[in-house]
Amino acid sequence: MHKVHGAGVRAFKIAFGLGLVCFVSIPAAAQTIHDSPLSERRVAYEMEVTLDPSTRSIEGRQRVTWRNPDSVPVGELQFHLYLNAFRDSTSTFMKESGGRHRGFSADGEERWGGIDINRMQIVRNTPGDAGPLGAAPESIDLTDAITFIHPDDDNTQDRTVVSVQLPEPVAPGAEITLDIDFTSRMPQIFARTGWERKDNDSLFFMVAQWFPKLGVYEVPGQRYVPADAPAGQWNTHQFHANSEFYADFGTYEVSLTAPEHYRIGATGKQVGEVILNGQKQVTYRADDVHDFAWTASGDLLEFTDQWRHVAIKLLIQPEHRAQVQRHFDAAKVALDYYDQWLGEYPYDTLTLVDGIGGSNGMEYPTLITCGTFYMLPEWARPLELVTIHEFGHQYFYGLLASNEFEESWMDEGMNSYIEMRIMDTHYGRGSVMDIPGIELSDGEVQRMSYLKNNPSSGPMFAKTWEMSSSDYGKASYAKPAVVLATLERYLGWDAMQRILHTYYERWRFKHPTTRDFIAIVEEVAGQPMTWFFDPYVYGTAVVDYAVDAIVNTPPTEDGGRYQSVATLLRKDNGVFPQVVRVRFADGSVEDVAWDGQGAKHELSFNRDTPIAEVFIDPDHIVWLDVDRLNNRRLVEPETTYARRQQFNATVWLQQLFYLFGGLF
Amino acid sequence: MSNPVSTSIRAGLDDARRRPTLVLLVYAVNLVSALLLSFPLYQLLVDSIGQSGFGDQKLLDFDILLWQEALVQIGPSLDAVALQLLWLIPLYMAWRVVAGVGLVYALQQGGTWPFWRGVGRYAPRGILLALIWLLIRILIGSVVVVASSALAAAWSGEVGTFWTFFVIRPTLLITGMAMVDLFERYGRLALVVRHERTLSAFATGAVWPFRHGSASVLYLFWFFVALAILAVPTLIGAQGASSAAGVWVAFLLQQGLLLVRAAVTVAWAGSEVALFERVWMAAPSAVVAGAPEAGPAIA
Repeated sequence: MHKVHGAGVRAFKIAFGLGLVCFVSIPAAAQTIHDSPLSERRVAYEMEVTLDPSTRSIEGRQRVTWRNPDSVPVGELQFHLYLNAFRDSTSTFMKESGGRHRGFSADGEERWGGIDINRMQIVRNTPGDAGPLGAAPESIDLTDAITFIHPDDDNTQDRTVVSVQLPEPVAPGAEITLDIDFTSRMPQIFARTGWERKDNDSLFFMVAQWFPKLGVYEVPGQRYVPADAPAGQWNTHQFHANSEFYADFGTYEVSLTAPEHYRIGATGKQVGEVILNGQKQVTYRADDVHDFAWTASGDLLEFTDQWRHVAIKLLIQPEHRAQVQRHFDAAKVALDYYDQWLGEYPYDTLTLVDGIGGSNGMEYPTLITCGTFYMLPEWARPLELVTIHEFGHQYFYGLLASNEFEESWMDEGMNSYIEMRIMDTHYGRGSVMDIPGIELSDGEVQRMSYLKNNPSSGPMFAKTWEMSSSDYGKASYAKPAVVLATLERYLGWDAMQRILHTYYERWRFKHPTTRDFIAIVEEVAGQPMTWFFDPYVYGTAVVDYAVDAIVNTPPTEDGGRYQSVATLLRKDNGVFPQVVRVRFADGSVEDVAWDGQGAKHELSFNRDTPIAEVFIDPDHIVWLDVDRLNNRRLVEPETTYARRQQFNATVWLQQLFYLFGGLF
Repeated sequence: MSNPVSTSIRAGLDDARRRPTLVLLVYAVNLVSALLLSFPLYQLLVDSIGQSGFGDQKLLDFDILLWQEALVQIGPSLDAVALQLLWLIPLYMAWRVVAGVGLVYALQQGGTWPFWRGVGRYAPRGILLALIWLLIRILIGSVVVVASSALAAAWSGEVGTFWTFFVIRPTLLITGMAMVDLFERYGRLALVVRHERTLSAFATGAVWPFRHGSASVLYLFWFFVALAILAVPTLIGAQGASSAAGVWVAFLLQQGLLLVRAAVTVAWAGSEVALFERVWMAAPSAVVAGAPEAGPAIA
């Protein structure tokens, strides 16, 4: 076990226990591997929070500072209160989800949670002189100025976004500091967050989306706000069943108080720990991140490891102890490949949490939840897949902070593409499941999820809450992975590498859009790519090319030649330039380019030898093609495969009969 | 006195060696039953994807997407073929019972034709006996499912779930079914060798293995031998021969093993007949009064 005591940082204040106040001074240090700020840091959060396991609630005090990035005064603040999605069945989240989320249900008497702002006030002093949290000497109470708003629908019962009208607008470039007291009641784990009681009666907490969190104020020219707009605007959305999050980069300093025997993991770096009266207070600091999440439980094991500059901490359920190394190995694989393919991981910590149920498979800055199963065999790699995927979000969401509400393909989809590439590169064929006869690779899983799931429905570029659940899963994860894999094969891996590096270098610690990514692709490719992005990212075009027929007409006279015609079809509305490989009976091969435009296309040959085979896209560039089986046609049927399957089936049936015969 | 188990095994092996016709009969019925379904599969695959050109690739490079695309085409026909298992499996199980009494009779009497005489003479009572044991199998299966579910409720969490459903339940089910199989085998022996009536044979089968521990040892020996031989063809198939000749060679190797498996069936039955008769001869008072052909008859 590894504990950090007082390492690291600037002075922080602790007030807990029976009125006891204790001051501990800690020297300052950066939480990234760079000395200067990496992001714009429009926000700064300081929080002191206490977890009460008996009520599964958190009492918190927050001091949040926001800097107006606009060139005009701003008279309103907007906050997310995500936890109110679980307040009751009337929230937009619960109405949209029907109480089900990714295979888990919100049920039981203790399923509800929520967040209340008990007090909100403007701190008049400059942040450095503001006094202890919640006790600013001069303040203006704003509690009554809080109103719930519903930017996405007319559900007046939804309480996941609030607007606060300020008595005085914040001047351009100026800062405003608020002190907020809040109470967060955690729901029983559902949709990533909450608590769960384990079999041994201990409690596990995954505390996420849990505090009042500022939305993003987008200035003119940022993302889709017109550059000539008179003023910027807040971009906040209600918490939806099919959406994740969007926030500005900033700094977090959070003191967490929990029972002494609890192990705690959180975003950022632990910079202090004090134990008193059976309670433990740990302080975390995180710079240049846009969220803060933590976990706490009395029944977690802690292990540590190191990858270059990154201290990796694993908090794992005791029953999964045998899989500690698998977690670390997967995390290091992800760190290696992301470092190589995109760029440097700028933080010096990474916390892996083996959560419970619906809390697993989620990303937060420098903290991810993985999830595994007791006795998971080596040939099944869901643990590695989830760990690599969630780590990937440190880039696609964490650093390249696109708006997950509005462009989910940019985080989930790009991440799925890289996850697929890492899995299949590192683990090879059978990267997901590797048993004799069944070698399932991540690329096949992604292709199957898109190609066999109504591919004509659901564009990638769409507001997530307007998507059906099945379209969200496909258009946010699998389809982007297949689209980007096709793009990679079309442009080549070298070009794709340049695209990824450029995208990372240009947009890390910012909020890129689809438009920004396309601009980089076109820049690297040196050609307009609207023909690709319009139908497959903004649209729902489906690619299906087929060899319809091969006709060989023998020569009618001695010394004559075969007249051969191959008929190709574009069976759906998706267009993609193709290479057609024609093999002749004498073994010669000719590759023919086809622009793929026409619905029907004929290739004619006049040769001494007839056509033996026609193969569209023989190098499998176009992963988007929904039916590869019809891409290829032989003149003479091939029967070896059928014979082998017949024999396999025969033997399998014979074995089955013996077994059903009671081993007779 | 020599070890009854090893003596019986030797006797069973001798039976299998001396009665190749019985071995071939067991093998042929098994093979033909399987071919009834696998022949249509061949034609389906040739018709649907024979011209696709992906046959070679799939031999060498398993691609679940191509498989899925092929299944879209042949799925409905494949379902129709698979549905035939609904009548074929019960029929095969009935054949197992019928052949069981025939084998015991033939191995006791010698020669091949007694097999069919045994079938004609004892099949109805053999089937009745099997039905009684089928009811008991269902009962045992139900008890195991209910008991393991209750255990899972008490031992919740993934550790409990794993051990309950992946270890305890399958172990109990396999053990229960194997025990019933053991009882049924000795009931069948009582039926044919001692000419007992069905209920009497049922009772004999249920107690005989408990009174004679060598019966259980003998059963376990053949159980694991049979299982091991049955598993090897799967390993050969998994090697994935890619040429037409390789496919045939692999299949012939697999069939060779399944022929050995059929010989095990005969040897297994022969060794049980030998053990049963050996014990019976040592205790002639156990002969059931009024049985039509009472008395040991060693082939």
